[in-house]
Amino acid sequence: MAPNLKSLKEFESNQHWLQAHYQEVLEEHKDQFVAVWRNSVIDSDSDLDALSDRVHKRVSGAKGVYIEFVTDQPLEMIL
Amino acid sequence: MNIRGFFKHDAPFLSAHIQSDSLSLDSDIDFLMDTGASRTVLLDKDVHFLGIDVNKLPKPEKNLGGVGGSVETHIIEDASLSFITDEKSFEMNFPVFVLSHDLSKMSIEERNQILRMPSLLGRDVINKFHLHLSKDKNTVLLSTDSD
Repeated sequence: MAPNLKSLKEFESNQHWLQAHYQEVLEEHKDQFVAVWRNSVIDSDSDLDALSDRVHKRVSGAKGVYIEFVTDQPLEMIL
Repeated sequence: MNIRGFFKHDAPFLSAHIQSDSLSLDSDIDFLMDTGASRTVLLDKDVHFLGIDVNKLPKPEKNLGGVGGSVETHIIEDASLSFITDEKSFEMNFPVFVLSHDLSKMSIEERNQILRMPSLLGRDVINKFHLHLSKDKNTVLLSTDSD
């Protein structure tokens, strides 16, 4: 598998994992950005830039890392 | 050829791998599928997480307009997006726009509101496919087949 698709598969796996475990992640990380990698939360922060800095140091290129703001208030958007 | 997405809450999303040699960009992004957007655009959350320095990017001839007005726009001219398909993968090379807000003068609440907004997959991609959407059937699909 091409490296970019391997990374995308990992990304999608982490995304699916977060959707499946959203409630339990919400209980621990409400109103924070979380970083999911290898099907677990590896870090969280209310400051996305601070979280990004740490994740990029931990995972080379942050490849496959899924970032999401976890909240019980869904974002209402009119685009 | 089928590219499958998913619903996040009630909104259709599609994951893609984005690459740009000029930015040394090689990462993955979730896009909200937005038939109201003429162009595919990266928004602040992905710009910040991927560490994209918008000052290194050229500006398009005119800024993009939206419901909230006009915002500063840049363009990644050598972008490519790759999608996983049922068969293997599909790659598109086309300019991707980057919208960035000035977050420095915003409250934390306003800042996080902006940083929650997803990047948008616009009609420059969607219109190359047949779009199948059904929340009831949990179907988000871009397909080259009409059925």
